[in-house]
Amino acid sequence: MFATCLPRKGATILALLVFTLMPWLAGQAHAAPSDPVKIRVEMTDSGFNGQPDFAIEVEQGQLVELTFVFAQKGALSDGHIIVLKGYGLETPEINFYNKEATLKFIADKPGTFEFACDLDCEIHDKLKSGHLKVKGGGAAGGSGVAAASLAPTTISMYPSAWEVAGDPVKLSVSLKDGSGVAVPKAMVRFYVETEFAGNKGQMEIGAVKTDANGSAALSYRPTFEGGQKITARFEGMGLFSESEQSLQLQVRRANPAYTVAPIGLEDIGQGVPRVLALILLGIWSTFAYVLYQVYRINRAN
Amino acid sequence: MRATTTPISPVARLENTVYRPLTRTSLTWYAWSGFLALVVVWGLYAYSVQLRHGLIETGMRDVVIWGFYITNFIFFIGISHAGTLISAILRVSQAEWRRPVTRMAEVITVVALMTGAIMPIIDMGRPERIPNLILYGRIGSPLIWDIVAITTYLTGSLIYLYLPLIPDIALARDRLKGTTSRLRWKLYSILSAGWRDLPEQRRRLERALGIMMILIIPIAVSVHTVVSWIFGMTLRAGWNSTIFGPYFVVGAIFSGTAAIITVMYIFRRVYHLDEYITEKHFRYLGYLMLALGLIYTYFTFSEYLTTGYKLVEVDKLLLEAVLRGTYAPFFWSFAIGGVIIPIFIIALPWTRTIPLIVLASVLVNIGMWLKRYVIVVSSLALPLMPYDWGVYYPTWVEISITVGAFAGFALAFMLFAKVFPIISVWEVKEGWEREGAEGPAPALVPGRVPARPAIREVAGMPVPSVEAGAPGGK
Repeated sequence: MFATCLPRKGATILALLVFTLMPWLAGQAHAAPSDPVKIRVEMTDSGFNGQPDFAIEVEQGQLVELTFVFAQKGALSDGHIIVLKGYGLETPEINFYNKEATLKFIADKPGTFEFACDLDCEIHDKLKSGHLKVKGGGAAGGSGVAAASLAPTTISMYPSAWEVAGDPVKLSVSLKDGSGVAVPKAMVRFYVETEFAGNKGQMEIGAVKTDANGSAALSYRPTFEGGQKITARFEGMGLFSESEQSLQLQVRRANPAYTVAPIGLEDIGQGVPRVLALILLGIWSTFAYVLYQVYRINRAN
Repeated sequence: MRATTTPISPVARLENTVYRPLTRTSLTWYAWSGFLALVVVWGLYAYSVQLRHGLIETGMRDVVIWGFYITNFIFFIGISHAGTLISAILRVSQAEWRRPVTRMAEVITVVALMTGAIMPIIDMGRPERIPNLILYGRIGSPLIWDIVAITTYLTGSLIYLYLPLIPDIALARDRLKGTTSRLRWKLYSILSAGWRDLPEQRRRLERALGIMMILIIPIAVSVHTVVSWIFGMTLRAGWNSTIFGPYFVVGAIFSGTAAIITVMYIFRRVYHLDEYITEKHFRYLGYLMLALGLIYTYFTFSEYLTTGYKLVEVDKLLLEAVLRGTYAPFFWSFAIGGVIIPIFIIALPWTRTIPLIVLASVLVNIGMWLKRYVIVVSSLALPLMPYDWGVYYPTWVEISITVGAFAGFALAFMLFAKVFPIISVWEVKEGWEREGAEGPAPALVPGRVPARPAIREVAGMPVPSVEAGAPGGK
């Protein structure tokens, strides 16, 4: 009996062990590793870490703390905003007074990504070819470093009114991570879908940071009428996954984006284009008449 | 073998001289056109780099937003005045000496306008957005005025170039039948509009020309006025001026006249046109350039004196930069090399020779390009807020595109002169008829002169005998 009971007991213990560890194993996929890879890059007069063409390498899934340090000897009035393309991250301005800034993110995308100064600085040519190489392979490239992935987020948006007639509308958002915990100090951008010069796309209407409760609100004053698709988007900040939510507002009456102050010469101002149009019409008609003479030259043959 | 001499009539000699380059192509021509084509291709490559990477490949930034391209734009639009305006004014005033030079002047206009009009497109960085200027442009914007004015001027100039070409194209059609390629002969047939020199055709051509030569003058004036208003309508030190319209127009005719002199000299040398483009043409155009140079000096003096006298703070900064600072080398090169020296060259009788007049004209055009550069860049570099001066250094892309544009201008000219007569033959003949004589006395030329093909009569029409296998004979 003992002999038959032992395997069943073992299986039960194993099942209990797996059940107990399940949340930890599942959570491991989203949790950031405890020790980020810390990289410091000095911006000198001759480029990133003194090199005109500079590259750093990390492994996919690593949590990275990339710190840029102002280390110029000349052009001390320079300022730099370093943009990491592909990850949509940028530092605040780094200058003589604010000497360093850090980008903290999970290197979830493999490939080579350019980082460069986005300002027209004195050493711009030297700060335009930095590269971040993220080696693929998952699980931090098998280096033994715990791999991390972006924590999921959800964003919810509520307008103060679904129909707008001249007044501003308050767009409130709430940002939470996968476990329902509020995400504070996160930048949420708002867009309206519009068309300009034949190009359809999203136009940014504002950006706000969430408070300690993961909440933020934007006051939006529509400048054109009709149905408007509003989108609130959180871009992840390199540590979370992107999330967005859209809603449809109905704008009955819009406010003009700007008004032109009267100058008192409107009647003349309205007349001038008409006169000029008439002159232009006269010129082009004369061209046509001249070309008609060429046609008659041909016919006279 | 004893050399024989055959009398040749002035008309035949004129036609022969003018039409010979249409059928004969020298190795030098191929070499030059090949070289220019290579430079144009290099310019196109530079433009492709700019298209791929954007305007970051240029020296233009958020402060100095215009540089070489807009300078070139003003320069080319300026020299485009050479032609149509000067040709029209000389026609209206019935200046008889104009006849051999009007065609070159008119071609300068069309080619320069086309080259100049490309520059703002290159400057935009996103050429696919050009239609938006028209679709979504505002009538209150000087940029829209520019588009309208340049389009109108280009159309008018093309018509004005084409009208006096009709009889000459008809002559090419008749002379070159069977000696040129079918495609080219077809082109001549279409463009000659069935010209047979009938009284009805002459009457209609004269009417059309009479209308165009008057109409094109205000259009030409309007174009450079509108170009100047891009600057003059802006509240910026150096641009905020009421005299920019006439200032730019005079500058345009000044540089345009210089361009005609340069082009005239080149064609005179290369096409052996000494008999038709004489010292008188250089002297008369030199006088015109002298007068325009003096007027331009007056405008420049007036502009800087009134600004310097009032000395608003921003104007003070600008004047310091232009007269003593960063832009001083450009400004003084323009003032001394591009205006004062040319004025003296033409004003002094002992320096008023053809080579020196041509030198003066080249100096004028270099000087005027520099002046446009100073106008465009210095005002933009001047800080409107308490910041440093903006900086502008042209990149290899901008320099290559600029050089390519100039090469394209020269190449287009060469190609035009390869297909169409560069002197208005019928107008020169008409001038001789009006003088009551058939031009200069017939010259006795040797029976076989390498420089000039023998003349044979075909149905009363002198036709050059084209040697078999001669380059360009097809």
